[in-house]
Amino acid sequence: MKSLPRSFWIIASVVLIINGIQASFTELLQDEAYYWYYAQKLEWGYFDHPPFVAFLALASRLLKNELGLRVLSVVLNLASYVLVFLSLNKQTRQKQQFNFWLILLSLPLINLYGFLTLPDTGTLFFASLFIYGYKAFLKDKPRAALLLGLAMAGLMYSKYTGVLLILATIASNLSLLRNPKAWLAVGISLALFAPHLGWLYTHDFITLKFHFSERPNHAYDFLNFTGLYLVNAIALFGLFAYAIFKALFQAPSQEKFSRGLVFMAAGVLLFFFLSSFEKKSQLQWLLPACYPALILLLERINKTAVYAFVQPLATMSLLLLFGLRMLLIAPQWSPIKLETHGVSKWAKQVASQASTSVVAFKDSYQKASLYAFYTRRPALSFNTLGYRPNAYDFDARWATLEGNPLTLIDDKAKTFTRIEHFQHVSAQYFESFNDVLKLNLSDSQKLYAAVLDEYKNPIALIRIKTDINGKVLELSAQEEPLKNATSIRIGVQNEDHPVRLISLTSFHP
Amino acid sequence: MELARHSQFYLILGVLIAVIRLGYAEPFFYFKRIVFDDTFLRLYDKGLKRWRNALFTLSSISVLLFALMLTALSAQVEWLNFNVLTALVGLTALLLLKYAVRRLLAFAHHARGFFDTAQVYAQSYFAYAGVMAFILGVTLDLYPELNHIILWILGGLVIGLQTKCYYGVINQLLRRKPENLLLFIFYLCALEIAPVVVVYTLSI
Repeated sequence: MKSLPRSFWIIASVVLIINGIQASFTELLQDEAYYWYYAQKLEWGYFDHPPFVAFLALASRLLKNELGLRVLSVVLNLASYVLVFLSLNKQTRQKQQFNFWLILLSLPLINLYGFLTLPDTGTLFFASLFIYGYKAFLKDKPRAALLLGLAMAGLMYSKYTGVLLILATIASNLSLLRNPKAWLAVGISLALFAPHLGWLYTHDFITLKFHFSERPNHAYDFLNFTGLYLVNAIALFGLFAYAIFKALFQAPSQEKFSRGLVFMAAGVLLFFFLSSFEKKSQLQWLLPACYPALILLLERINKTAVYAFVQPLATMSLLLLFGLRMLLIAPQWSPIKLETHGVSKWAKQVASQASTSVVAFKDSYQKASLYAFYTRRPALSFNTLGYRPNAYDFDARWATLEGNPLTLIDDKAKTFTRIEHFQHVSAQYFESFNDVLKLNLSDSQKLYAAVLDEYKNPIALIRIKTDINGKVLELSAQEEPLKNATSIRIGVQNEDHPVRLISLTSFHP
Repeated sequence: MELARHSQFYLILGVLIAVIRLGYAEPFFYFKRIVFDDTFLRLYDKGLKRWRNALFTLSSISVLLFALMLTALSAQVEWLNFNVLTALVGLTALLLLKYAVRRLLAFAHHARGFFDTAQVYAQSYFAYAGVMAFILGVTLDLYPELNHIILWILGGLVIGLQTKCYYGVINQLLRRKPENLLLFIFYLCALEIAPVVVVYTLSI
């Protein structure tokens, strides 16, 4: 750190202040609110993500506003910039410091993730730590294995796709497999990651199941899947995309660190390219490719055609991104309503219409979290049989609501339904129809199954037959579509409630 | 009052288009056929710079027309929020920024000739879209209740013309400098498609 010039810290401080201001004045994205909900009860794992994002949101318990939710992300992002800079060669650091900042801040997502609290925020930080650690490891520096172990665990705690960077690095340098220090790093990371593995084990590997097989999908569509991926892969690097891709191809392959960076960037891009043939790709999934690609470009920037035009190109990018940042915080200037506009106002309006202290949003974990953040009132997500499970299915507050009134809000239909006596049925794991037979239903409860297509989207809703005592009949006595279904989810209807999803995963009956 | 003010604007813009049509009869003849026949683009690209004033005026008319339409639509469509000032400044800034980036990329990647052609195509098609949108603007001014249909037609018109424009540029490129194809695709994705995708993702 001592080797960093004063000018570097001045620019870093300005970036920190700007991101801090932006973090304070930008209302929450829907997903950020969901991670704030995670942070209200720290666990070693959550339904849809590993837990690091909840840790990032932790300061929101003390500082109860947008800045509280984002302050750790802002600081961590700055730390990642420092680590990326330190991963450059000394000569590049001395000569390209200004270009480093210009290009880094011209990368659209790096700019936006400078102040947002999302799972990829952690991925970015640990990717930079991993790169820095790997460089130290190749130089055989003391404590490099510890750094690498910490980075690998952090990558996995942020998002499982962080494993791509680790695998790509091993693929680029197979001698690591024979290196005891590399195994020490793996050991450290596994030890650090063990609590999450334990959590996964006790929760039937639900997070992995959700990402690998439970997430609703659609039939392949070139434009929305692979076409969108290609646009994303270029949008990721903005106006420097051409120069960066060229640098990827022209990087020196004989040098281990460069080869590692090429493998990391190309590995992430290639993996999601292949996965785009199966599911829709999202821009932020490609983020781990950013830092390795940026380092590769900076190391040979003076040999590229774009060298003389870094400043004007970056100025254009920064102008565009500054415009977008302004639109995020100033709805009155924005030509289009963005996700961050009018959120607190919406929450307060909803609160004024709710007739109970606790509300539940129909099929919207994001709206429930936003409402709770901005009103500080309890809110839950009531997941119907057509929707997907989420972290709210594990919420202990459901049981305390038994018999109490609850306002069920359908934000899409703008309806408020008062349920006088809420009846709770816990969500659970079903492995086969035999588990359904074990359910004890009251007279007023009706059981339903949603038959899912191959993409986990419901195609039919079928009432599950019971005998006169309410006992569920064997599968052979059920309707044909249910018997022939490849996967189903189970829901319960209580008197005046909509059918509520109670199976945490789909299963073959 | 609102309707009357816009009607006056449309009248002035209509007169301006008519004046250009009379004053620049030959370029306007080719200009109105650019979708079917690229004579205008070829001649202009080869240095018929006396048409520059006509094209510049038509482009300016387009900016004004689109600004008026976006403002009118914003009064009725929930997710749009333009006023005349933001629409005018926003559109002008966006066009200038895109122009500047095209120039920069042209210099940076030694593809100046090609990007000049791309600029001619982009500007001509933008002006053409504006002239085409004139009738839509007048209709919207007279029948504001048709806003949703007009929004769809306008969106279709802009996307259709943009696609035709870039198809033309790529054809030119394949004929003249195929080595720049990749660069142009990168430019298209980074500056033309990606910002729309990002804003769409962030919008409600």
